Amino acid sequence: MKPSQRLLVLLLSGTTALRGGGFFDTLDDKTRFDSDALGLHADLSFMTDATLYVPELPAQGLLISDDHVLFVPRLMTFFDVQMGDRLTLHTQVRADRGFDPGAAPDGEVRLDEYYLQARILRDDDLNVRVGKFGTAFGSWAKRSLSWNNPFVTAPMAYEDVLTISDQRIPLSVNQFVHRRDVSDKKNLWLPILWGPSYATGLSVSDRIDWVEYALEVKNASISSSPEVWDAAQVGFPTNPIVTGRVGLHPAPEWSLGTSVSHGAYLQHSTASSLPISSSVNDFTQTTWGIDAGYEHGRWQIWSELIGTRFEVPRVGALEAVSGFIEAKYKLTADLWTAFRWNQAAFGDVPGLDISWDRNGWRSDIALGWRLSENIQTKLQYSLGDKSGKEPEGNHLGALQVVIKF
Amino acid sequence: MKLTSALLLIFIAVHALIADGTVEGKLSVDLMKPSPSRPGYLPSPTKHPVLKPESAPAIVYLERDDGQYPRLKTNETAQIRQSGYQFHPSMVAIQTGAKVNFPNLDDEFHNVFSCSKAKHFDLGRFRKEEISSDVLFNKPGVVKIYCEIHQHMRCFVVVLDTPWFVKTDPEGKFSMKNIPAGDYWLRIFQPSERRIQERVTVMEGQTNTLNFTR
Repeated sequence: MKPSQRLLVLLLSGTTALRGGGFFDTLDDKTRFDSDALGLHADLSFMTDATLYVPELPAQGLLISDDHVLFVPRLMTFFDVQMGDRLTLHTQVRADRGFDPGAAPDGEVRLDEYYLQARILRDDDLNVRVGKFGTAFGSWAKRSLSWNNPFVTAPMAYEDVLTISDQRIPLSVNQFVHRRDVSDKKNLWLPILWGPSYATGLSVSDRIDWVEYALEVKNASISSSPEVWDAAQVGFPTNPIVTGRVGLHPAPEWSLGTSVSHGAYLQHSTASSLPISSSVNDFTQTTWGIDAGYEHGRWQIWSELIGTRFEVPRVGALEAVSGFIEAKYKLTADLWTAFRWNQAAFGDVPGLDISWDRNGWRSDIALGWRLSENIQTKLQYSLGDKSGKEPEGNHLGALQVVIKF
Repeated sequence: MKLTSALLLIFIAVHALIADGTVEGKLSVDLMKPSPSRPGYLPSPTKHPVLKPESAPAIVYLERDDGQYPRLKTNETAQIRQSGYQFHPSMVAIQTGAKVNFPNLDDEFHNVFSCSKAKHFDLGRFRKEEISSDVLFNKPGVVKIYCEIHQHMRCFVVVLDTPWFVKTDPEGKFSMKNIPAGDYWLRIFQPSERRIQERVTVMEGQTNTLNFTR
């Protein structure tokens, strides 16, 4: 047994031993500061997960591994400060093997999220947020952390790598079309949305009875990679990316939403490779989405349909549609099962009778076990297929243990 | 014959009252611990304001060494409401075998669940005034109950084999009457989850007064 597999077994047996105790409650108490007199509440909290991926190579999605087994431990540290009843500070620091599993094999520590949020009116939910935080687009970002995600991986729309790049400009249409016949270059190419997209910016959100909305301006497109999310490192563009979502809750069972995002997606380093008299601001990603959720009793169902259009230099406008429907069913008090169907389809390259990327589908099935209010484990199997040459691996197995405290 | 039976019953009842003792006292009731943290997420906006949790009483109970107890109530069903995004009451004591009902009085979903050793259950998402299943508590122990959607919400169900238990009043006073004479452990479960115990001997017709200060 490899050391990584041994560590996972140790973690599994350790978490089983901890499930009944008040260990996490005690730890939670010790990492909190409350002062009603000062109106200050500070809380240091943690979530840790350990995941064993067993992909067929080349691995699906944003899993970056040349090995048939990849072990990814992750520690997320959250620091929340509530100042009075209107001001909140939130930070999330992660230590892991990369934002996407395997992206930093030797490990790294990142400040993934930080923001200050102010509630403008005392009796209203109108909030203004400034900092680096998850996108308002769609409904998946809100449940993307491993404790809330019934699966180990993200839906295909949030992690399936397209042949679009924000760093490499195609020199010709033929060169671009060739990309669909080679394996995904995960360090250069983009998905429609990159995970929860923790880009930097400002947002306004509110909830009025059964309607909610959020509008944000950020430094990076929703498809952009984690390397360009932090404006403190890469700066803020003159033409920020605008994203918004309007959500409806007509009944407790239902949540419906529609989202739009528009803005330039190319990195500034590509400026010298662009056609003469064009700039990075001329090449945009426009994305729209609808999402619907239903929950009642033991069922939770989510679905999203996302359409996107990339303006690609020397190629033209490229369109794609990706969607998923996901259902979670609680079998017992402790066990749940989940199923997700993902599908993606691509339009033709302008002037050619060929789709610009490979159409594909993926089905994910998961079994989860909540050992306590602090510990859960998940087992996932994914089967997918794409048309065309050099398809990625069809199979993926994953086992994950998540602890929060 | 009927008159004789009635007189016999009255005699037994009067004898029982005289033979039984009373245990009463006062204690300093601890506060509940702050809500467990919710890593990574701030509370999601709710349709109505979240009320402050009510102060929970302590549970005082008497246990025998032999663990043999009479069942004084049958088909007992307690109720814990969810309203203002809090559980009311936040502390309930029941005898083993009793049920608890969890009506939702809020306009939004709640999802009541517990992973405690004494009881695992998950009622799923249910809406206002929707009838949810009664939960049977058939093992003694402390059951911590949460809402999966609103993580600040929690309450306790203290499941006891003994039928001799009371909640303290807001001043921390308690009184248990009609306790059969004998030796007991008087045990206290505080909202802070701290436990206190003391040996007590109940004498016929007498009152034991115990005070617990910090």
